[in-house]
Amino acid sequence: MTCTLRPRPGWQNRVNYYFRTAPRFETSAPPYAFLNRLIAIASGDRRPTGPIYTINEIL
Amino acid sequence: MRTLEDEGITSRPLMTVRIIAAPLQKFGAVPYGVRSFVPVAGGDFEGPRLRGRVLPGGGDWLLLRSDGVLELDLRITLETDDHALIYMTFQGLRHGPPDVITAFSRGEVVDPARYYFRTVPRFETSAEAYAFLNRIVSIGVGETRPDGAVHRIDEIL
Repeated sequence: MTCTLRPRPGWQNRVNYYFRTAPRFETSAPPYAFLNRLIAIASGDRRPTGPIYTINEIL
Repeated sequence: MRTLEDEGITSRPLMTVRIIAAPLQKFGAVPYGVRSFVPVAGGDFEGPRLRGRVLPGGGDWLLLRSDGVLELDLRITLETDDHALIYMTFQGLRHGPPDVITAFSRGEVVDPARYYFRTVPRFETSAEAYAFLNRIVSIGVGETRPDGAVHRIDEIL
């Protein structure tokens, strides 16, 4: 029997490296003007196809 | 929708920085907005892993944007109680209802729950004991005080 171990999503991110960013936004679109006024923090996750960022608004 | 908590991202207290400001210098309406400069006269900082004083000589280059948001751009020197120097910078945003902004201009104390004041501090140091600061992203919650500001800073884990 062969057993393949597969890391859970985000596992590599949490364990192997620190990848945090503070994204900023600029827009003139009224529905998204709230983006101009917030501070955010993101966790980056390196993937073969490019990074995935999970972004949270700091309330 | 995934959140930072889903990613296992948490935070822990880093320090509270109290900044004593010198009188504001007004540049007025420059091409980017209304610019002013707040020199830093001093202050102090304290947290579980570091404490000391804010040296005079830094400052905050404020920009009041056309949408009423105040952008902060602070650069200061921290000196720890064991004499290490730490260069601290942050960019941040402050905004709130008109009566709060008016109260600030009168030098009044306002409940911090009534306005948004968040920053993203960064650090540079050559001191081994504090080298961990070079490698972290952090978030600050600011409070405007009549004599300056207080920033409660958390390390993002």
